[in-house]
Amino acid sequence: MSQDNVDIIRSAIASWNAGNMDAVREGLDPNVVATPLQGWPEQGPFVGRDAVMAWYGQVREAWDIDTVEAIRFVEAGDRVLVRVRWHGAGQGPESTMEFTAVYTMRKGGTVYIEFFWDHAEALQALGLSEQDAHVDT
Amino acid sequence: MSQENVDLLKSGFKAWNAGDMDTVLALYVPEAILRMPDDWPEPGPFVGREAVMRQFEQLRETWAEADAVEAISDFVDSGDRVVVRMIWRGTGHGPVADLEMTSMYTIRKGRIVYDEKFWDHREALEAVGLSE
Repeated sequence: MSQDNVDIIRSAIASWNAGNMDAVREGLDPNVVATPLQGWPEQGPFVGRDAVMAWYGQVREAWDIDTVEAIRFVEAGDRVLVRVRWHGAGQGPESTMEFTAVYTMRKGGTVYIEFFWDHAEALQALGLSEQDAHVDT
Repeated sequence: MSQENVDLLKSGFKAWNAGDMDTVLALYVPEAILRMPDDWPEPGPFVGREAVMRQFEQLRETWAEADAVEAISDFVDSGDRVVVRMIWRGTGHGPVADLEMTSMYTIRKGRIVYDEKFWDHREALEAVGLSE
């Protein structure tokens, strides 16, 4: 199940990079909740698929083009942690941000998304360490 | 830390049964999330401590006389999560009700950030990567 979840998130990232937001949307449970990064301009939480997609649309509008690069995946039960590098270009200076997203999965859909600036903090929050977490690159 | 989480929940059950909802409220972070089991009349999710407490109060009003929660399994901790099977008994309106469900709590820095209910205990255990 966990490997399936990793594959689902991997696929969602590919869809994001292809600009296929319908596919990104399909990966979200209708009652998904997303909590943004600490200090993010829009505080959230965003509740429901429409609200999360509206937020995603808003953040993508900041750049003409943006891509998400997965650096590593960690699976832990029904949760998938992904360290990502997010590149944006086209309006003002180019931007590269690195953060960790934690996806909680149910029946193939994402029900909860949390974001952490610090990967170690994300692992610690989940009670994991790099040693006992299964890492998939 | 895990034993602290278990102790926190035990104190929460005790507070619930004593009708001390202020103490129950204090167990949750302000941005807490509550998900009820599949096919629950109010599907939620309930986001924010006040919304969570409103849902709890609404549930408690279902019974006029009393309701109580009792853990009927071990408190199983895994990382930041604790899973426990519970029975919720209520009396006062119509027949006595015994509702059995499993709670999965996600606890950070001594407070509940995510509270999810499952009808099926095995499903909850699998969610945290465990089996019965």
